[in-house]
Amino acid sequence: MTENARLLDEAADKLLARHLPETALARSAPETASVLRESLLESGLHLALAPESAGGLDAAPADAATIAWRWGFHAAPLPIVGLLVGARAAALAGFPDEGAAVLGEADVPDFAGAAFYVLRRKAGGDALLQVDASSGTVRRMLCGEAAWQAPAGGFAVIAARPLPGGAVAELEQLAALLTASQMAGLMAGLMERVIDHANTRQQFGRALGKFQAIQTLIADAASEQVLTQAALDAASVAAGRGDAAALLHCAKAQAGRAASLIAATAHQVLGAIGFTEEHVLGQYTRRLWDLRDRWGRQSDSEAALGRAAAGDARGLWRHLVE
Amino acid sequence: MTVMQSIFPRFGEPPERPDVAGLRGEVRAFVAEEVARGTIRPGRQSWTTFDRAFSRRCAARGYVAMTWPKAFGGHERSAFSRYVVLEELLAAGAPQGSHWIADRQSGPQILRHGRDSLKRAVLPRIAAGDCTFGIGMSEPDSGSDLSSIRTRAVRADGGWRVEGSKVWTTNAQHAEYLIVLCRTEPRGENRYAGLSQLVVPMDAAGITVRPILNIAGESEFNEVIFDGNFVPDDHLLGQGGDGWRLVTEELAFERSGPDRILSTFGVLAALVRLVGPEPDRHAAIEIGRLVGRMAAIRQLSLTITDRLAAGQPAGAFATIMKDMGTTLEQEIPDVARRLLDLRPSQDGDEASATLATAILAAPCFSLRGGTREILKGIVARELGLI
Repeated sequence: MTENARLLDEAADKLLARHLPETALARSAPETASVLRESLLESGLHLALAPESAGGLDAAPADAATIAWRWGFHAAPLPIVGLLVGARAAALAGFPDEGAAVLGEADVPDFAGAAFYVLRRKAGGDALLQVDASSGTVRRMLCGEAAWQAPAGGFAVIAARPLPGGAVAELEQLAALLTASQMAGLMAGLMERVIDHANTRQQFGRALGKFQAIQTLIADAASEQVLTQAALDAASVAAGRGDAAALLHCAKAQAGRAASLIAATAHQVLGAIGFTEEHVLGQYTRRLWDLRDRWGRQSDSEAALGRAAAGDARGLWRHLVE
Repeated sequence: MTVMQSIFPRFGEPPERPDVAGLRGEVRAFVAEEVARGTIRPGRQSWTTFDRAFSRRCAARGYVAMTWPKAFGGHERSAFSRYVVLEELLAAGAPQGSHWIADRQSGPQILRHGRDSLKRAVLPRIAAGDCTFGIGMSEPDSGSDLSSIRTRAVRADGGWRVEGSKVWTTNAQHAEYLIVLCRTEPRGENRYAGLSQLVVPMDAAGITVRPILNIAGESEFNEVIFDGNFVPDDHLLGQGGDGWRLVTEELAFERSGPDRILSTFGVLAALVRLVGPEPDRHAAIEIGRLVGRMAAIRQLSLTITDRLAAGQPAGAFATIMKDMGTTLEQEIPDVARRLLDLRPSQDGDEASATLATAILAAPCFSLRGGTREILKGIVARELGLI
């Protein structure tokens, strides 16, 4: 797995270095997302999780997660998780590769092209629905990007194809892992900027980072970041072995908790400048706030952990360690 | 640029960990025996509770000195196996005070930095569960600021004589030895230089131990006064004068283990039991938040254990883990108190006694082994601030 993780990370980093503009305003321009999407599809990187039979790399979940991590690290636009999981879903269902994103049915989906997929669990078996975007409304979400919202009366399905048994659960778990990974990347990029700012910005004749109150803020934020990494590492190793449900809830809940504190800390340390549209900070914090409740809402992850612990007749200890 | 290394993304293979299902089963059978015997009283004691006979039985099962060389009474098991035994015993609330500190940090410190004669004399006794160690770091005027300690050792024929005092020394009244951080050279410009660690035999003349009652009315910690007691030459750790480096290294082991997560596990287990198998959404979220946090911190602790076992530095991770683990330990009784309809009482039923014991013990979690505020300062430095 080692070599693949490195290669995928480098490929994503190179792609973003080439196509992601420097300034915050240029990044949030719609053209940026289109250019990135085109070059992503051209590179074939979006097929990382797709099976080899469909021209994909069939990468291990932990390896593919590095792409989402790197995307987060640069606060790059595009629903990268939906695109990566979408390519796998499309291949499993036998749809041609069109670079369409996949969405959880309960989710507020991203708007990433003319058509996209919705995962559906049905009594008769799992299915992938190809949806016509014009049948819903497009809203601007916390992350700053447009997303499609299903209308109350249902939406127009262009095509529906069956998925192999258990595929929806597998794809949802993958999406949760990749989302937590993208969040960890966002946290890493954010913390670098926070520390850099604290060490360079002078007030009262000394760097911000010399104030103990600020050191405590940043140490707390970094601690949440490290804890997220540890939970995510365990979940990604488990995902490769197929027994990841509990650790994924744990990683997603932890990532959500960390995101809130890290985003708040970043805004506190960077002050008013970080609150402006021109500063890149908002590109990080808005995405973190949004992703907390995507592909495994933070409170749902916590509730799932609580219910699983309470309902385990073996007792809490065995539940935790076995 | 963040100085700290990252745990994720992972670019290396995950560490191989042995299958421990059998080992867990063994430890649980031992715990069941000890509960029946009355040694383990859930919720009414802690891992610092002193019970020499229990420690000997742990040793007889091979649960002490697990990773040490066989030549010194150890069992040459993996760090992960040791972790499993520790967490099983901690979760059960076993009284491990008699061997805990010796097994966790003093023994390993002697193994790394002790003379051969000292290793041969002391390590097998620890491994047999016959030997208690105390931590001689804090002093009446030096709490978090260890570099300001005043206890000193002066050269004597064939060894050292110690003058000074230590305080908050857990189980010193039972200890055969203390590892004492002391000044062996006068304090100069560099306040971290000239310190040494001595393994001080507690049966020597010139040592007074005065128990101190804590807010729960227990006397686990003590003041220790050294009035010229003799310490033989070969009881010096390291080269002499390098005590600061040694003590810092020792603290990485003190700060990263399951004992920094599980001190109030009994309360969480009772909470889950009393809430029942079908919690409402509010209770499920509150419990899930704690259980998820415990699982995440445990993963960090295991990552650190893997790194230490592979000879890699744990850096700020151990400091972070200790801070987050002890914060969780303190949060658990507070959540339980708000979710459960019971009034904590030290001699009440098991659940209310467990809660009372936890509430009374909780303040020390973020003091012992480095106060929270000092830990945050260490993390800030590791991050490249200052």
